[in-house]
Amino acid sequence: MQSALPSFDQSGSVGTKSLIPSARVTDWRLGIPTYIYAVVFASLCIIWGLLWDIMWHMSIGRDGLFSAPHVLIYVGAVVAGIFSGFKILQLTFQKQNPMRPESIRFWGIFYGSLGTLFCVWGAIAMLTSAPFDDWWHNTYGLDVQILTPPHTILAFGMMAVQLGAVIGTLALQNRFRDAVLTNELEKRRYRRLQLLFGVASGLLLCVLFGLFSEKMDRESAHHSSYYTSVAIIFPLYLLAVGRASLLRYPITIISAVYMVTMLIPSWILPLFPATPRLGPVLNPITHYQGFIFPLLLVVPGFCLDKLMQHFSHKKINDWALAAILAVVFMGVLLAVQWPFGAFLLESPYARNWFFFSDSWYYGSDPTWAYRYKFYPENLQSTTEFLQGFGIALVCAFFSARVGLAWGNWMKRVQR
Amino acid sequence: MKLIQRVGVYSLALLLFFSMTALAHVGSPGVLIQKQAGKYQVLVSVNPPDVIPGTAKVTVFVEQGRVKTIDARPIYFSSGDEGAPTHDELKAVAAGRFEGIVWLMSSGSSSIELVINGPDGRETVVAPVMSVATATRTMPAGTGIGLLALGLLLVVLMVTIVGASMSDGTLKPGQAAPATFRRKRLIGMGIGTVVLVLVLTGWRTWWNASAEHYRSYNLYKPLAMQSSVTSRDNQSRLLIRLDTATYGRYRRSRPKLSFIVPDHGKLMHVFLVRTPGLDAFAHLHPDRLDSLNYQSKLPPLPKGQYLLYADIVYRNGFAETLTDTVTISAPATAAKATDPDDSWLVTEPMGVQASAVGMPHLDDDMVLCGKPSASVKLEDGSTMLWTDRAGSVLETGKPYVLRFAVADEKGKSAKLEPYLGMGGHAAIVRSDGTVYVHLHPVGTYSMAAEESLVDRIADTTRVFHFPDANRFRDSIDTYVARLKQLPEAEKNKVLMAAMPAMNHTMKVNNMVEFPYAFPRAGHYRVWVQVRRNGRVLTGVFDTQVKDSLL
Repeated sequence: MQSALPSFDQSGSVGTKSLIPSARVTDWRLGIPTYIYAVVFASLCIIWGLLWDIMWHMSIGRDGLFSAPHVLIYVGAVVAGIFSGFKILQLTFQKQNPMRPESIRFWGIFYGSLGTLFCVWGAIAMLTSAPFDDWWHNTYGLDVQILTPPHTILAFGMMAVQLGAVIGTLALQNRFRDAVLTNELEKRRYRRLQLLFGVASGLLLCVLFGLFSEKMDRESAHHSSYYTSVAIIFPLYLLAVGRASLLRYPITIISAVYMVTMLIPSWILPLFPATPRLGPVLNPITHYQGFIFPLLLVVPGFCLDKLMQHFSHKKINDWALAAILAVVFMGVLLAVQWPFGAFLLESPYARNWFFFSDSWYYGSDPTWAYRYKFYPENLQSTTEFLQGFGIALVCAFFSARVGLAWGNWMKRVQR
Repeated sequence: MKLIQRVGVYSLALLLFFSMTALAHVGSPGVLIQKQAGKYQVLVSVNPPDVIPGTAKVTVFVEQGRVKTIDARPIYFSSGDEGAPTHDELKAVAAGRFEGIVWLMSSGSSSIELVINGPDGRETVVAPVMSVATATRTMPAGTGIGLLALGLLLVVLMVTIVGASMSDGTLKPGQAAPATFRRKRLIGMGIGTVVLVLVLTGWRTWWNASAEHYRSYNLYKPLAMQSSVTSRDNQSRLLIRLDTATYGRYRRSRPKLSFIVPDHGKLMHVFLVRTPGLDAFAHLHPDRLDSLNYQSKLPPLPKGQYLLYADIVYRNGFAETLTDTVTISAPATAAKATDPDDSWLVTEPMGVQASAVGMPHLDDDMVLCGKPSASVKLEDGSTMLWTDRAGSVLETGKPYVLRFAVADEKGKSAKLEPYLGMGGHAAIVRSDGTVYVHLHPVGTYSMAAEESLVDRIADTTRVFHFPDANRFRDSIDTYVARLKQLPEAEKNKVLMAAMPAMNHTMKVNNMVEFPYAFPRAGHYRVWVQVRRNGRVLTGVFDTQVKDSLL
């Protein structure tokens, strides 16, 4: 019987004898390389570090190079960079390393997997952003927004590390595609890899959302620009990872991972005291302020899963599939997020620890008339909204089509 | 030839004069304060950030009192005491010297509140600070090269990754790459390169747009003014027209001109200095004709080209100096002052030519006046002495307390009277006009700015709302006009009552002192103005300042 993970066989080709010491095969790692766990852990550090940092800036304001959230992000970069860098060096300098035949040779001398390459790229990009960001602060002042040119390099670095985790787990998971699993260990390993891929994909989705969250806040849930942003980002990503995953309900699970990962820091940190250390302090808070409640992606995500399952055995052109998926995704999302956005913004029942709609930046006036109301500029006439939503549908269609194509590539990743 | 050189240097100086930023002062961004607070006497130096948000460096020299700790926090006019963050403790770096940083997040009028604690009690000192971005920086070569190298590495590595993703990355483990994969890899790398170039182009455009946004919206632009001199009935008049068109997009960061408030009872303090010798000087207080136009009768100043510095303060405590040059083509013969507190003086030109600035020359110690402890004769026959001078050449960046004493005709100490509610006023101008400061015995800041901020700190509202602009302007005009009519003693009483009393001790004897740190090397002229027997007297001193050797 062919092993689903040929790399773990000593011969380098398909074999029967396990390379992994029996102790390691049966331990918690189930024979999956440690660096895979390390990069998924790094991915979690990055997103929680980022969310903590955002909440730090909402509640405390002032930070230094080594503030706690920054350190958590650096831990992510360092863990991913060191584990992946070490892997590359190991493969490069150990000619007999059994994992060499399943790696990529680059620049004539180096060997590494795609996942490790993305992680190393991400770590270097994050490192590069630090002096650039420092210069930016000295030249244009400390930036108080999420997206600036140096922050983008950091963000690309973070996402590359996270993509490294996604691709790393994906390559291993893909080797199980079409494999017939006989022994229990392989089944467990397969399930573990499915799960790791789902988690890694969900974590990357969080950073992706975090970067564009300024365009998708509850205040703009009744504006078409909100849906255009959603349409550009989500179909592309969700359909790519959804197509590549071997889980039964991948998009639902990945969306759930995204929601839970986003919610946990916003539920836990407000239990801790935090006072603003920068002025003006218009909202004198005493505890951390939660970030924003994530989009209810599980609902449209579940519909996408059902549709993908439905069409998986039918001969349907990806363009047509993209059109159907885009319309359904946007329609369901609108049906869910329109009332939910209004609930989050307007309802007194959303002002609690669970929905944390009362969370408010220390520098904003808490008595602002539109704190719990849609600001007139964020509302459109029905015609304007429908026009905008039409554009969003077109965006969603192209986004979905690119996502499906990307998913096709993801399915083929082996190394 | 010499004339051409001189004109060239002079033109350059004027160019600098026009292009420099003009906050509460010109070319002298730091705030220096000397204050008596309870039993403490402190000299506070605040070096504000040149980009916002940024950090102000605060240094406190304890001159009197037993200080244990000093806490500092920024208080913005817009959000007041209630909207200020918690204090940060300054670090005791040496005996009687505390240092620390304070974050200034918002542009506009701000202050730094210092709370002094020790066995001598708890006292508060407020330093008004103009929190504005003034820096335009480029990337240093070292940083640029380092970032470029890392950027190139990232680009090459990403192109490699994309190439591998489309080819070798999809090969099953152990499978050798077919010949077609080389082509696939190259296509992948080509696509990766094109996409990266597009992304980087867009990113660079964004960077440029951010830099442009900074220049348009954040970078401080001084309020421009157009000044002219007209002559009618042998009376020359200086007309100043404020030009708000130059604000551009910076407009939204500014209060309206109707919110200009009087400082020492005057809406505008104008200093005229004739170039190149800085020999003719006038301190005038124009009347407001309307919100844009100000006018003052000119004293009999000799003809020539003058540097013009006009100090104004807004309701929120934001103080700025407007600059221009103006030509007086003929001296007024029948000059009448617009304001009873106007004063002027024509004296010898500076001993050092403007062209000699920054160059070694033999006449460093041959300036006409201003030698250590040099004295000058005042108009009423009394003498003003620069006492306790640190040396013949002063150092840049070092906080000095410039002390001046007045002796009567017999050499005995002459009692001075308050001038515009203060013990005295001083103006300092660098020989090329690029540094200008209007000093008071308590420091380099505007009294009206301090008054605004101290009042605001006492106010517990979290958000300040400006009143109706027209009504406010009318009420200010009425107040200033009434003050102008008051007898001298009463006027001083009103002015002194308006100042935050706890921090000011009027030492009205025969001496005035001004804390100041010279920002740049060069030759400076100092005009010290005091009042004696109802007459404003101006003493002129020159000094040379060199960069500190440390």
